[in-house]
Amino acid sequence: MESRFWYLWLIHTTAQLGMLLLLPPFFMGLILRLKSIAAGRKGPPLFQPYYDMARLIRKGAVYSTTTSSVFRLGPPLLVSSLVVSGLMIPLGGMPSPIHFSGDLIVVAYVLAISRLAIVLAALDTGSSFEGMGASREITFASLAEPTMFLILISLGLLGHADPNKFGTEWSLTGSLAQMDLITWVHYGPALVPLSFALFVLILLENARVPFDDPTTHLELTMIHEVMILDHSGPDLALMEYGAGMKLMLLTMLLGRILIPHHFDNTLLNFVVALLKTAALCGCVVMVEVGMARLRMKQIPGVLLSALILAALSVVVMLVELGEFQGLPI
Amino acid sequence: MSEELQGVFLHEAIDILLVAVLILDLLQVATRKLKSAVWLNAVQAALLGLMPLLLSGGELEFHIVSMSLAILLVRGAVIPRVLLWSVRLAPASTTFRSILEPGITLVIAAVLIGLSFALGLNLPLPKSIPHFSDLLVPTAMATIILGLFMLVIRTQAMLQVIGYLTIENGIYLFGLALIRETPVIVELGILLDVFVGVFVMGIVLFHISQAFEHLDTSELSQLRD
Amino acid sequence: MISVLLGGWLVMLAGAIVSSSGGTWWADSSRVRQSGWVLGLAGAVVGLCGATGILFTGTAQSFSAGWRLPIGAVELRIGQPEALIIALIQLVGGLTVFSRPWAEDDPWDTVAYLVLMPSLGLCLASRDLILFIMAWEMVALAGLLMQRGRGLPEDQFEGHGLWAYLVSAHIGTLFLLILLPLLVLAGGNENALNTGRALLWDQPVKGLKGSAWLWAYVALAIAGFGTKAGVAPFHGWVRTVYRNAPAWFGGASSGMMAKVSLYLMIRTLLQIVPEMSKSQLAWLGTLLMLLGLLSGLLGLGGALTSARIKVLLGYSSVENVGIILVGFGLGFWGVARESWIVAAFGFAGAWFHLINHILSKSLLFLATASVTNGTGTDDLARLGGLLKRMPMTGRAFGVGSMSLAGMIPLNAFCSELLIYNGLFLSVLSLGTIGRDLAILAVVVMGMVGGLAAVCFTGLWGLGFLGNARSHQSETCDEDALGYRGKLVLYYYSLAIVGLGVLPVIGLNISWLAVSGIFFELGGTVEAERTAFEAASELMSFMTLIGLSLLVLTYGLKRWRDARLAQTSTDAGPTWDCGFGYTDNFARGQYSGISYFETLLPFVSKLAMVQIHRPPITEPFPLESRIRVESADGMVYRVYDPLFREIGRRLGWFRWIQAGSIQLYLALMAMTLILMLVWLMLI
Repeated sequence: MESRFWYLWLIHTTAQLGMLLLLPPFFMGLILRLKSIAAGRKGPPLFQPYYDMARLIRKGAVYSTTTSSVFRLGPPLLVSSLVVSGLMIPLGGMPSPIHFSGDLIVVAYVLAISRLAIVLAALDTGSSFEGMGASREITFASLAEPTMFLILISLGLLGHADPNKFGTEWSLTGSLAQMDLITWVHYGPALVPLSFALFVLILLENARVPFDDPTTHLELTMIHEVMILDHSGPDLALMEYGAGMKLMLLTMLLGRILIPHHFDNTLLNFVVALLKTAALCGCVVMVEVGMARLRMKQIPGVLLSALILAALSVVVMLVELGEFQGLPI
Repeated sequence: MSEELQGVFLHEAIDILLVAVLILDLLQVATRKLKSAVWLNAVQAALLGLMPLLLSGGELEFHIVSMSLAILLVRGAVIPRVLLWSVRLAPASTTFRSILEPGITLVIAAVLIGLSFALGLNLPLPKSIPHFSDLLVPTAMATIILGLFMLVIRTQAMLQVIGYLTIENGIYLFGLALIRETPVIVELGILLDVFVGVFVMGIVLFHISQAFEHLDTSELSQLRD
Repeated sequence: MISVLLGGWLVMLAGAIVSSSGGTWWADSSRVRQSGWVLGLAGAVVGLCGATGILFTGTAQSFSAGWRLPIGAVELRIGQPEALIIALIQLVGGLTVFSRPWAEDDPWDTVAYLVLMPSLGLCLASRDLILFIMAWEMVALAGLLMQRGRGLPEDQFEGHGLWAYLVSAHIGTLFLLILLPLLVLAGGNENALNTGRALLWDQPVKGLKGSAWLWAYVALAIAGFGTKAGVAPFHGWVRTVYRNAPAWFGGASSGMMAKVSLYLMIRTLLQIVPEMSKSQLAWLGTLLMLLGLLSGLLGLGGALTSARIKVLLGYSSVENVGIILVGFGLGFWGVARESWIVAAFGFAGAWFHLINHILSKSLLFLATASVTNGTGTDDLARLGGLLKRMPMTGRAFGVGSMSLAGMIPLNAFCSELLIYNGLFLSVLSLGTIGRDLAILAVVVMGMVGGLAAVCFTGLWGLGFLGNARSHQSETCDEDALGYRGKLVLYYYSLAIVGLGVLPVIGLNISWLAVSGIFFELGGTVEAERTAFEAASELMSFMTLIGLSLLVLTYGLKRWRDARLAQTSTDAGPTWDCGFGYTDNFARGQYSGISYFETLLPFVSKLAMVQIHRPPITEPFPLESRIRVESADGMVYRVYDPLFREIGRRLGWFRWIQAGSIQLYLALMAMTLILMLVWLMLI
């Protein structure tokens, strides 16, 4: 029994790590490809980001004389924080390799480290434009933080809906492990606004339209792209890789919520998770094709809407759980 | 499909509908465009028109179906057209002002929704409807309160009509929660009242817009004879 | 052990006297100061040993001198929580003294520190009302000594800072002068005046059960101790005082005085708690949590409208005091609902955060002192690129500020995590209001965490990274810090990283204080064990995560460097986006207010900001500057109008001082007659 447990853990961990480390460029390629198709072009090959990264890694780097060690530490810190948070988010249908009571908050903060790394590296270049990007990025992220916490509370409440299933662990794995399609039947009204809010957050965190345009060429309108202007060679590869990993992590999380599944077969879990992620990438592309980017002034309003949706989800979740008694009159 | 599972799905459908109604409330509060405000309200009313069908447990009785159809037709199609017709001459009617800035409006709306949940779940009401949902009364309260809120914060006559219609939606939902079976004649009477009311307001708006070239009630305060 | 501590204090005071008498008639100055410094340091170490001893022996120790002050007595008692704070003060204060040049011309900062540390300790230890008030006033005076009109040359309103400090300190003391005698009387010392022993924290107050007066006590405690602790809305002094005072004062105020005040506030509340019903206790928890959240928001709201390091740090301590208060409030909620695990998480988080904040803030203010010494300014619009010119200061500042920005694996996140976890747990176990409050608290703390990240990335990123924005910051160095200063910064950084990687240590230390409170409030041994195990488990997972982050980052960095070693590394200017700025285009960088500008529409609801943009009137405008004026929202909207109004009302009494001798004589006569009448009546 004990040995089987370890064996399973090892398989899950290997599968998750493999997915986490190997697939990020694939989804970036997928998005590029889908976007080109939607625009009526053929688009780059699906594996183009892998080639790009390999090329970047073989190249040398140019460092600005203004920068210090902080700049050089940025890309490694970005990727490592994303890997660590990837080990705490249950990808596919499996429990995550590291999960413990209270990990919901830690995940949010580990994800935030990736942002700190990139912002500090940007400020270290002493460039006006990168400072602008850093200011925008950290501001919008700070406005999005409460939404993230409300989503986590809502998920956590879901995890406690039926404590018999997973004990009393108050964690992301614990919550998601008890979701299945029937969960949607019972808690759908809470999960709908939650998914919307999470989708908005995914678009923001990954600097997609309507918050940021990854393909823009005008520095003044950029948020994320402007912050990596000075990275080159392996550093740029790490930055791009990290961006892809963040996109993959968050979409997989949303996929897990939208269509909960867990099969006994690890491989099947794996494939289904990938399909869902691909479908969500399609959604991101649809938004990107169908919308123009927002003006900077409008972004806080959208984030506020996401916040209210997440709050609605918490309230409805409490009602559905029968926990909400309102005022104790 | 087993009876029980069917019940669960119906309940679920009702709940999702109610959350949609809530989100539509928020969108109506947030929107800055006249046309979208009208249509959002119409969609909300149409969703509410589906409600009796679901609340009756999926049994297709004649008077419930006809009621739903009538609501869909009048609230979902006729009234928005009448409203848009009445302001088609009004200049600058596409966007409008509110006395609060949008961010604060949304925050207050969210707080009001929270309040109506707190109030709605504490009202001593008979739980007599089959598949009664816990969200029903709070949503009705929220719709009524947000309708009032819209009346308060908006300065254009047209939008106040929409606020009024939102209140009406809420009252209708509340009625659904309270009364097990409404005589069809009463419901149709209410619908007629609303329709006539909107028609009259539409004509009034039309005349205001022709006479003053704007529909801003905050600038109509000097109208004395 | 307590006698060791007292001995340490006496040695420190002796050091202060010796140090301050340098250059007087009897001695050559530098030698004397040097020996004063050595004495003070020795006292700090001895005191630290004593306090740690009390902390780890685990029993409260008392000391009673045979002599009494006028209507007061020397009665000391130090339990574990007090010992913990005293040990921290001895440590941090000792390190600060250690970092200072030992024979400088102006010894008064060292003297002030040497007086401050025993006084703060006495505040915590004294059981006697009079002794306490004397110690409390000594603290205020030591603070005053540190700021005596020595702001930076560019600060024009030095007098303002002193005034704000004096007024706020004494408004706080005013509340205490009402509160403390009441506490003495309610604590069963009715005949204190006759016996000459007015014992303060002797026993829980009595006779308040079910009475609304209880809330008056609570309000007085919060207002009285909260003013010095910087709890919103009593934080109005923060901007002016931190702006004008030297960084030494900042470290003492934010790292030591605020924490002592906060603890005294909690201890006063603990005296009242036994008289409270469960629901009253829950309301107390609510009050503390709401005040904490308000402090968090107003603190960062104030911070993000300022571009001065000292002010930002001062406001950040308002925010962190807020987080600590949320922890204590949560603890009281847990006790009220008998959800012991929530209570334990709340208290443990609060205490751990207190420790962390003391360490981080002492580091940050020490580094700030090095910056102001080196550059003569603390304005972010004039700094930049300091990491290259002040490597040790810059690195240490980075560690401290990233810790408070919530980065893993640094210490402040671990304590926040404990509080967050308590909040999450309470969402299901505290009943309706507690749950809603916990959800609100999580959301606001999330917001505060995000804003803190903005604040501290700005602080470090603008001040220490990039290019120098002015001549001063281009030519500065950290020589003023000296070898010992660098060493101290290094120790602090080490402690911060250490506590972040091994937070179990911090948890264990704070648990020494937590368990006392826990049992005092009625927790069982079993509940305490369970809670401790849950918290340690969480903390050990933080070790796992912190270590894996460190290892992975290091590995990736090595890999990247190895790649680059095989290819090539070039140096060039920063990419200018075709904008054509030449090497070191410093003025174009984002600075202070512009970095925070995107947030200003939100922040301006919490503070007052006015941006003056000079209008552009001609096609080729000449040089012009945007000027930003900001004030604390609370001061601008509440205190200023209030004080103005009070001042106007008090103006009515001005006729008394009309300068006419006849009037004065008449008043004296009237007073005499009134007293006679009164005598007659009784």
